Amino acid sequence: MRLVIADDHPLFRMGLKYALINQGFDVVAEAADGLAALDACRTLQPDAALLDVKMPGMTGIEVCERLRLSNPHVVSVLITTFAEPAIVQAARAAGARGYVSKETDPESLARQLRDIVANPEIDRLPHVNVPRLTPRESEVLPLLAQGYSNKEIAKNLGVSPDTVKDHLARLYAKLDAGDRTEAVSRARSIGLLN
Amino acid sequence: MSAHSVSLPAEAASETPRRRRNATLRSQFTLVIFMLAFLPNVVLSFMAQPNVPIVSLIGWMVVVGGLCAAVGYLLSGTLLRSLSLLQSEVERGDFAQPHKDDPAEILSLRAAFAELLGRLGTEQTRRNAFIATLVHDLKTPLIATGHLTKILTTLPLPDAEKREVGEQIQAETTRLLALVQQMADAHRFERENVQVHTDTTDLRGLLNGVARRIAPQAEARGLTMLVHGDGQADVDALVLERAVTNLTENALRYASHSIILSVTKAGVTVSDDGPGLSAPIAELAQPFNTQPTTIAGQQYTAGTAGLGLFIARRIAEAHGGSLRYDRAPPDIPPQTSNSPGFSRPPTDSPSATDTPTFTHFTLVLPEVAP
Repeated sequence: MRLVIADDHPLFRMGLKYALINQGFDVVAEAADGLAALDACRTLQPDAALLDVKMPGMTGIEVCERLRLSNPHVVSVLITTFAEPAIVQAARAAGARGYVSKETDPESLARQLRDIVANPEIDRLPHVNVPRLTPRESEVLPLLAQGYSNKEIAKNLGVSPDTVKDHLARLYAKLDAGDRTEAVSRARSIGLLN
Repeated sequence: MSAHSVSLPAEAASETPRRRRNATLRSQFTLVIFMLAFLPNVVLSFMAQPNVPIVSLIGWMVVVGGLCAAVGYLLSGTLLRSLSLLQSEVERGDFAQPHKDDPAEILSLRAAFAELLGRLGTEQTRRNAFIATLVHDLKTPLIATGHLTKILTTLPLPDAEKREVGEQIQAETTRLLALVQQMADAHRFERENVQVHTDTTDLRGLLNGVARRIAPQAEARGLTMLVHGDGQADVDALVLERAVTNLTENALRYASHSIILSVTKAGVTVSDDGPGLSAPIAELAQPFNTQPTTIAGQQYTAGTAGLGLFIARRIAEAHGGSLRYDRAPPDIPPQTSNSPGFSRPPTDSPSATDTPTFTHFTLVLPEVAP
């Protein structure tokens, strides 16, 4: 099976490459950033791309999304240390067919990769329910977490306090929260806030 | 105990019954007002010896007592209204906005709570950055080292590949050790002052030493390094060298063409033609700043930034100076003599012809003698 692996950490790339070669894979290219990964996939047409989520320039999720549009036959699998539900949900939406922890041992990773490439239509990503926030709500949430009052949030965003109140009401509804403390706590637990 | 109860630590458990018995401030105020109003009534009524049956007198006292209690309750509510409001706002986590009728004490409490919350936020941010460093900066290479060690011990790799793998693991181990050392130092320098034992030091010699050590990495990145200026100062050479090395390693990461180490009247300056800082230095030269990364439209903490800057700042402060940052074209005198092995920026490079803006970090020292 022909693979492209992409990770910005050279040692991890090297470890992954040798481990997968040892498991019988043909690593046709390595990339240190998202753009290089995308180029390699478009040029070399591998069976699968093993992509780190956090890479300079373009994240693994963005690479997945672009590959889904331009090279849908390349199976995208994300490999990461991030386990936040919001990222998993974004990965599914981008078309990732697998979401694997970097801690996975090489034998298990090889097995999972073969399964995914053999049956890419099976949905293997964990199911999470993360509300989609509007860009404005995404701006309000961190300010809320920093303990800003409605007036301060309004000043910060250049809107009226009533508008902030409306955003907060919608945020509470989306996060199923009764007040700001609950909203912040829930947002943290699902990875919408760090 | 109910089915919903949770086990508490011994200390907390012993506190709980006492807390339950605690009276509220309002009940205490009510009691004081009641006593102040009722006791004089009792004393006056009995001293006046009215000509009424004792039962009527007691009945009257009960009525007066009830009225005093009601007045006490209402008055205490009015007096403590701002405090009660603050209490409910603190419980909701929304207390930053002052009210028009807030007395000075409540305004101070609001400010103190807001400051405390800010400090808690800072601490939480630092903890996040610390954990993110463990997870992203340390865990990933450790996993990779595990994979590679397994490969080295189980696969018959050619010697050249074995050597490459070994060299990569060694380089990564050195980098990780440096990171762990920085984290430990940042934690230590946060709590205590940097200990310095000063002696008259040739600053040019100190910079030459740093440049010599950094030269191979600069060369690998295609960067030119220049050392200029002369001067002496009373410094702890080893400790100051540490700060200069931190700043130079930062420069190495961000410079496009050149790095300049200079001794100036103000102190020791490390300059590079990189993009400069993304935020004010006062904000960045702090221990465990979060290094945010945006994934799928959300910001996540991906590690620690500014450890080197923080350590450099603390070292400068320990010498009675400070860490200064500015952006300006480089100020290199025409007769600069380079250290062996280092050269001025090449004349055909954009940095030499267009006099680009440089990023300058100066470890300001109290006195630099020529």
